[in-house]
Amino acid sequence: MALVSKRALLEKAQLPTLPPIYSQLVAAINNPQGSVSAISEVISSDPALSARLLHIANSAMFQFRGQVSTISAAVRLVGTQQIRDLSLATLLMTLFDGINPVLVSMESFWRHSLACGIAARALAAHRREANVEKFFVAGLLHDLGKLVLYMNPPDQELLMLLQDPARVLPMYLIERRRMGFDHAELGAALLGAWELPAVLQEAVARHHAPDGARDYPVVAATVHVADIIANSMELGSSGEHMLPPLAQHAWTRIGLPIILLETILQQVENQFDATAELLGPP
Amino acid sequence: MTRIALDCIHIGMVAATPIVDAEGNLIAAAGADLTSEHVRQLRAVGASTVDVAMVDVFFEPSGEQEPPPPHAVAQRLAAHHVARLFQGSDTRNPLIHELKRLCIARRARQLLEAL
Repeated sequence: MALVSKRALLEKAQLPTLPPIYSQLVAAINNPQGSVSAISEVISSDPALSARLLHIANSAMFQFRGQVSTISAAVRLVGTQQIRDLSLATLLMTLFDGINPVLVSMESFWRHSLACGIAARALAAHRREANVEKFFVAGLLHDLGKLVLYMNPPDQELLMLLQDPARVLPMYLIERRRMGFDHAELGAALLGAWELPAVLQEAVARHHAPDGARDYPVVAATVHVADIIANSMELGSSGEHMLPPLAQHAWTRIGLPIILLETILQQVENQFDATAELLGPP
Repeated sequence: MTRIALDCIHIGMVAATPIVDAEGNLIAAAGADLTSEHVRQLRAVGASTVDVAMVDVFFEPSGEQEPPPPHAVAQRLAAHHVARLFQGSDTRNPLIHELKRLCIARRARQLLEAL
């Protein structure tokens, strides 16, 4: 077994950093003396982000179609927390370049991530959660640790084991056996290095083991089930050939009736292309 | 594995061997579900036959005079495809059982639309 540490892997990898505008936006939102105009000013300093957020605010994702003409209107109508999370999603879609396409198709990877995010948001909406975009971003980020592995594989044998089309174990179990940790923990460590909220870190860390989530068990269980739904719908792939196993208490934790599953799959199907167009690389 | 004419290929059939063009460029890997894009590429390179697996799903001996209707073929193909996806899952779990049922229906619908 080739054991490496998460820290060593993160330090060695040439990892992208979050654009500074994200931390400026978080600071403006968290400022007790802050205002909508201060938040809008930060967003407006990035024309590409501004255009993307206006596009999103006017899309079918919200009920303001065609009515949002300024960033300040978008912030007021969509809400600061959701604007923050949508900004993060938008910024992330362009961050990881240069991964060998033989290891993973980035397009297929993001399609899977997007499907997971949309499924997580749909589940959260049926639970009547206040900030469903938090669930969307958690789903979008869930497999980020795989990109870290692909960018800087600790050993070639692990890569070959993960690429084997005949493998019958999910990737996270092979990673744990080989490295002592898995892509979920690695992804959470990256989010920690980026100083993203604890809820996202735990949801990502626990997306294959949500029953062990301590502080945000519902978010972790939601991303776990959303990942299974995304894999079952085969909207893109992050490298799995079969569904990850369902954790024993995940669905009970979410607390929705199984009869809703058909509606949720339909919602993912209906929203997928439009969301991909909204958030996809420019 | 069976070699069948390109004109008889159905979307969703599975390539039994890697399919390459005259220059050795991969068109479909062994095990790939054949799509309308594969068929288009195969036509473009002048292929006339393809080695496919799972032909038994289409032509299972049943003693019937008439070929099975398209929706039945689509349903069986979809069930076969989805079974591979769910092979590590406990389908006795009610959530997984329902998800599998929905996935088979969705896949069969996609196959019928592609035909």
